[in-house]
Amino acid sequence: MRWLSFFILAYIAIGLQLGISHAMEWHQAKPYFSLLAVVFIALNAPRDATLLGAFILGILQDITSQGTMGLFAFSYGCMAIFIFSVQSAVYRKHPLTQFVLTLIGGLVTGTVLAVHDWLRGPGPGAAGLFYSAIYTAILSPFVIGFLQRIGPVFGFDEARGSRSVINIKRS
Amino acid sequence: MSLKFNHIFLMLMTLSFLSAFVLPARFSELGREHLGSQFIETLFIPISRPSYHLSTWIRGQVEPAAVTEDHRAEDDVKAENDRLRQQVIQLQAQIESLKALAGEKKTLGQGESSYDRFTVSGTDSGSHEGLLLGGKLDGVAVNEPVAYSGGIAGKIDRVSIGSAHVRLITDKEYTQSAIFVRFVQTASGIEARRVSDLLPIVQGNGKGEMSITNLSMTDVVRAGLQAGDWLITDESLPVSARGLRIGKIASIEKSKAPLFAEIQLKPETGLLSLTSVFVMVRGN
Repeated sequence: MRWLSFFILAYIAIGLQLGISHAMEWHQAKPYFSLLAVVFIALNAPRDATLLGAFILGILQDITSQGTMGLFAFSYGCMAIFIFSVQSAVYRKHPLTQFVLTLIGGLVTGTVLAVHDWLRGPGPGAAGLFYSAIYTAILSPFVIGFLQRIGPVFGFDEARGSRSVINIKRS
Repeated sequence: MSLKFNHIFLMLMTLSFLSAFVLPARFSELGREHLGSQFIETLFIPISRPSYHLSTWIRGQVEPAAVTEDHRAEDDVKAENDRLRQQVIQLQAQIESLKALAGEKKTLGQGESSYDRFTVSGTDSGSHEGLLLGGKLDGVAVNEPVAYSGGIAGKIDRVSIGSAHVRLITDKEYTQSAIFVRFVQTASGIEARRVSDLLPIVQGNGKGEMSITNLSMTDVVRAGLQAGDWLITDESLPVSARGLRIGKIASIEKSKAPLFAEIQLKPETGLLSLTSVFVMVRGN
């Protein structure tokens, strides 16, 4: 993975998170662009880059929010571990794959945030986090689909996970 | 190589877990400072500011205008307009005298306005209710009150080089003591009268509104509080931030806790859509 491309992606994702996530809010649900970036990286990048990239995105999200430091870093790290574990078994360019993985990722993050709020004081509430996960998942085919199109910019190894594609075609 | 990375990643995850779930908040905040948040947060402003203003503008165009709750007859509205015209004249006269007083104050070196206007560059990136201020932030300090045309908006949560974070009064972690007032029409104009001596604690609910849950239902009924009454800031804030409107009572209901009331408050406007705010600045 080209780290310069990754940092540009992280910069735009967090910048948009700060800038337009509220305007796109709908009934307590708001999109998490950083989460979409994590799912995209976890679907395409090698293991070490996936884990480190997700952690960096989480730290950046923590720094730019009022929440407890380390919360998003930990949840995005957990999410990346899960998504990478299924990376070779899924067809990463399919919108349904992107939707399901983003939804699961959002639920993992939401669960970590909800547990934190339950243990350490007031937070956004589980319902809002659940709706945000669904909202972000609905956006995923568009955003991740676009990122997949410009995938070569990130220098991912295209052969990664190709066996699963061949297997799908064979079956 | 990968084994070494595993150790590093495990260490990072453990640290983040400890910071999020185990260590007290003040240690987590220290970590935030050591990671250079002052510098990093400012970096995102070139993306967040234009996108925030563009998206807020688009939302303002797309969102339907708030439905008015005013069902008064046309004659009543005309009569009120007449009264208001008269009041404007009276206020203009008062402004003139206040200007003269302000001029005197200046010569005594007591300063003029305590607030400076700052542009909003974005909102909180996480799940809290906050605003990101950008630009030249001379004199802005942590815990200083932040106001807008409709009253108090929140307080400065942290300040960095070129950016500052505002925790809004609607955030779940914001609490503020307040005073109940009611705006009443008098012969000399509209006055804000203190309704009761109760000491309400206003807390944000994280959904753009606030609530009060520390008062018993008996006290609330005895005080005659009703929807439409206002809460203003009290002596817990610096002098120039006292008397600012916090929000209007939207409803009074029985709380889940027995014998207590749950009072829902609404701010004058959606605080997450503000494009600029006023911050009390040291040195003014």
